[in-house]
Amino acid sequence: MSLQVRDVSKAFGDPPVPALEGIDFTVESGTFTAIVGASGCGKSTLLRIVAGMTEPDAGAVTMEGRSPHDLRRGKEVGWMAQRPALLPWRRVRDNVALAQSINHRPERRLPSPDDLLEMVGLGHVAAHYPHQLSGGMQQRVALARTLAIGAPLWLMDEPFAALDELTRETLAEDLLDIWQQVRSTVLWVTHHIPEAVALADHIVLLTPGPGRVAGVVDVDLARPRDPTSAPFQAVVRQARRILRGAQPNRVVA
Amino acid sequence: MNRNGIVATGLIVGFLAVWEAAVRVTGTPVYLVPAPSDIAMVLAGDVSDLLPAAGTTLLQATGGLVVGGALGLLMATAITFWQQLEQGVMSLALLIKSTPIIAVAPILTVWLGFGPAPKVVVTALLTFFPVLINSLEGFRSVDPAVADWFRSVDAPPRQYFLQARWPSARPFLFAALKVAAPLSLIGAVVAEWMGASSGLGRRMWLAYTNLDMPSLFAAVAVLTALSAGIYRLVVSAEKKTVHWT
Repeated sequence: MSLQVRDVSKAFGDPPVPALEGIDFTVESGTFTAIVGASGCGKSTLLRIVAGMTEPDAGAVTMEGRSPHDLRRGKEVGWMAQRPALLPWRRVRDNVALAQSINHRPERRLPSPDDLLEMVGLGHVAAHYPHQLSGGMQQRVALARTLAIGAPLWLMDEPFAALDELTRETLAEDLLDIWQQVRSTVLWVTHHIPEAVALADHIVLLTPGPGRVAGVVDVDLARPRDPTSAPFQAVVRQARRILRGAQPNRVVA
Repeated sequence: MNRNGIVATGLIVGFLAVWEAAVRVTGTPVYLVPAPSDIAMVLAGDVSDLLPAAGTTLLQATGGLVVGGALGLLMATAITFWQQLEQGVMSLALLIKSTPIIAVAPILTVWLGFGPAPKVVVTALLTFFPVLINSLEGFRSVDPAVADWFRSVDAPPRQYFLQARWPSARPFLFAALKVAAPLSLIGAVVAEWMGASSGLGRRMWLAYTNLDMPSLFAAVAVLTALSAGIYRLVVSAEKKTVHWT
């Protein structure tokens, strides 16, 4: 299912302050696309618009002709944010199971919560409560919960940003392994260019606010990618060059 | 008993000892300030009357707490689902909250008689407000990240209420109960003062009119113990129910 973002604009406040202007790009089915830009460039707003949680002022988002609302209604969106947002009153297994029981789709064959937890390496803590787990483990549970509904579209808003570098790298590798098995369409928001290059097939670069598409970089590197390799560094430099070119002119006193 | 318990017991025993000594040394008459030993004698001697009186008050207070708490919870739920109700319900709740209960209790006694009904109503009026306010706050306290996740799976309002709003409100509800439960005893006693055939409030009123200060203090002591007991009960229920905080 390819995702089409067509001329999307959004402003907040009164008088309106533009957050996004004329965002236009396509994400091919089964690909991993990163949206990269500086803080405040509207990346998260864009992801919320794609998820149907925020209405755009202009433009539209469609996936195979369906609106974000239709996608959510069909439980076709897997949402993962910076905070794991687990329910502290439910055990880990029940948190994953809840994703399947809410707005239940009987026609969809889904793996059991225990299998999903095994998949993310947390089978041994299924009976724990979230507060008994580390931040990284909680994000793994959130990942299992995202996988639990079998959604063809994953929207991920800097899900590992709050974690330490080592945990972040390990989780990103595990996510990539799982994604390569499942091949859902992924839209991944980050401000970290090397992370985007390590994960994504395509990188949509946004200008500092208001966010406009500064350029799209195709990452034509075989996985797993070595961040120290010259081709990897070349893609990072290319993305940086585009983003630097998109910086607003600075006034020097 | 842990260290804190020993300190607390020591403080209470010390306070009672100072009280006893002060009354004995100054020769304060018993109709002004009875010594703790005088009160203890009443407590021991009148236990067969005090316990049923305490039972009556506790029953009426619990009845009022259940009615007031249920109404508060129900209205907070209704406002959560139908926000247009908020202004009307909150105006009414504020009106009830602002009306001095001491002024309402005699009217209710005239209307409803000397039985348990006016006590339950007075107690319900007292306990309704904290439960309403805290429940409403609790229903609205869902973590925005959790709310986003529920939206992402297009959770129906009923499921969102049961799975996110209701558990999020539990700590708030217990905070309300910690206030409302001891308050319910005050409500029942105030209503009993206005006219009752039994209960701690009636005993207190009789002792007051006879200047029988040891009996009055004994009733107060029982009331205090009940209040502390009911508070501990709420705290213990909270620990079991809200285990994640």
